[in-house]
Amino acid sequence: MTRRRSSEARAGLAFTIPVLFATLAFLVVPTVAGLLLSLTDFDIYALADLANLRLVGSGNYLALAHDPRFWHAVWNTLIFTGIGVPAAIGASLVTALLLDSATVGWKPVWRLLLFAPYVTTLVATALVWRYVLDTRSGLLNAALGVVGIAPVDWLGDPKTSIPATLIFIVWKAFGYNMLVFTAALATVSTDLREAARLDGAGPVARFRHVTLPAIGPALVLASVLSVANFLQVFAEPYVMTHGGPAQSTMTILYFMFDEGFTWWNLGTASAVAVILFVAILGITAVQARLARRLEWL
Amino acid sequence: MITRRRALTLASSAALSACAPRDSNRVTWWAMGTTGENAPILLPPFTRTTGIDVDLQAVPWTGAHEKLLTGFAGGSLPDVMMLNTGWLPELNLLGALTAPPPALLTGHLPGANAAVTIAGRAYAVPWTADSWVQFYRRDLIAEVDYPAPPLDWAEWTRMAQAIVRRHPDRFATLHLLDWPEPLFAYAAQTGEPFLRDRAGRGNFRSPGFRAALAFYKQVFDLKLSPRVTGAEAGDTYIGLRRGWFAILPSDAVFLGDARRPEHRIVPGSWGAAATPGPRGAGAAMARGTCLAVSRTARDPAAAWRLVAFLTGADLQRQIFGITGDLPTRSRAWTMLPPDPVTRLFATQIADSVAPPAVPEWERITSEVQQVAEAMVRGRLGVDAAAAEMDARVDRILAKRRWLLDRGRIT
Repeated sequence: MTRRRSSEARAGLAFTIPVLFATLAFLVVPTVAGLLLSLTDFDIYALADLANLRLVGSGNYLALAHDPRFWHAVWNTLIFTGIGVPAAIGASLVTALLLDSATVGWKPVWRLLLFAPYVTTLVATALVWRYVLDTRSGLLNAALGVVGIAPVDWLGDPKTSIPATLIFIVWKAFGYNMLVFTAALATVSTDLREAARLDGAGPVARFRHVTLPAIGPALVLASVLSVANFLQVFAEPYVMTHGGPAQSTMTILYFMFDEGFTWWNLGTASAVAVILFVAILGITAVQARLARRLEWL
Repeated sequence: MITRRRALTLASSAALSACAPRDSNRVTWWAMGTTGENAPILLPPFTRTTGIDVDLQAVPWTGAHEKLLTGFAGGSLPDVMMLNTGWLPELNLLGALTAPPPALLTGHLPGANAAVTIAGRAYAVPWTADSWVQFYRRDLIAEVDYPAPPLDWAEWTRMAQAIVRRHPDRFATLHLLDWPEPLFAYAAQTGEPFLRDRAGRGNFRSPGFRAALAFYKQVFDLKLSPRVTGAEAGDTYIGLRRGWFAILPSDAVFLGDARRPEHRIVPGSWGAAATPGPRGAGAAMARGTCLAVSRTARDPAAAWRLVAFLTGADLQRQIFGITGDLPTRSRAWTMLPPDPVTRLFATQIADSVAPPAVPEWERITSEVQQVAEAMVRGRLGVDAAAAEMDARVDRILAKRRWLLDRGRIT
């Protein structure tokens, strides 16, 4: 008996060792290395000669705490997340519910059209959106002009650059969650819905007490993934605005990229990475705890 | 029939051949901007006479600095690279460059060699010379009774205001908010150094720089230029042709771009004048590009042959004809058309000051411009902006000061 168990254990170990090794080599080691790097002032002088490297301890973190540019990036990221996550999840939920309705025909076509932005190349779509948002010849301002609203400098005004970028991000990303919700809605029992309807429940009550409990887990999953994604917004502002105008779309990840790969201050960039890592870990833990506490799960 | 085994064999042999040493008669070259786009026209005669193939990669200027540093860190720099002369101190600090053969350094304009020399030693061959001037639409300037844009700030402002009064929906000039060049061009006019304390601290609170900053701010406050970045402005040449603004400050790239059919800028409809200064035009910021050979070049002799070919007087003249990039060889200048624009550039280049030779310079200009943008958008006054610039630049130069104090760098 024990002999068989130990041979099973050996087989199990043989199967898991490659994965454990990969996790160690590509996840644990880089994370620890990043943590160590964040305690040094690795910069272009250190790149030239390692003798110029200094151990600065918490120096990078203290410098970041006093750097208004970093706080500006944190604030921008919070705005992106605070508006973007509800907007993205709301948009995907509404479209998924609409597509789930029995009265909608051509469902596969709608699904394809609404999912297409998610799988289209980011740079290509960003270029198209830059034309749409153009101040002088853009489609959006032309449409606003029809109803008598003066042209808005969407990407050029620091006040509107975040909303304009958000419109693009939400449009680009909502297709994925829409599919997740569509799949979850397919599991909602038709009998239960019918029964609720016969008992006199209105559309709101049916959504609240029948649909929502069924898609609850999908909603939690979508919110966890969306928060993590929005905290790491980078490519969209990089392509659309280069972080401008006046640094108004500079996010934490953009700031990290700028420090690390534009100017090779890898010490500072690693410190930013560690802070972001801890922040996402903390927020996800809180979300998981909240999700467990909610009754309908 | 393709079996799995055969597919695997094919794949592994393909992977192995990718690792095989590259053809020895081959030089890799990164060329930036318009010059890079047009470089394929220049190369066939070189390959014909020397038998050396050139593997050219055109890199846009916006990503070039990043790509070079990443290329160094990743050990993937090309054999030959076209550099903004201002980046030499940085790449030299990294030890990425080799010194050119002395023969390649003769016959250049005075000042061109100085721009590629660090601590008495040249690290690249000057390739194109440049300056920063104002190109203007003759008709729009004539409308307000000026033959050309005035060269002192006060009179220039009066002219610009007259243009805006005449066309309230238009602008006098275009200073893109993500371009540091206009501000630094004004600051160079005042002759004050940008850094102090052995280039260990910013000198942006100096009276000269603050005067330039105030003038720069006034251009926007009086609505003489729109508050836009390059991403929004779109094609600046089309803006100039349509009269969105009357004056486009630019370098010699304008000369080549204005000729491009898609811009349709009528020859003779524009002129060029020096950048205005506080009391008439003064010194300009030295600009230009050079060609350097990487320390990791596999065949330095072949690489230098390519550099010798590209920096020859005849080829420099040919490049001027294509892109507008001005030559560094005195003999090539004698072949240029003797028009007022060429003469203007010749005087400007002769009268230019080099940017401080510190590796941090690219970052400094970028951060100073960020503060200038915040100032233009009304978040800071001139004095507060100058103080913020000094604070940021002092922070950037902290490591340099530490190394200077210990005598690790000079």
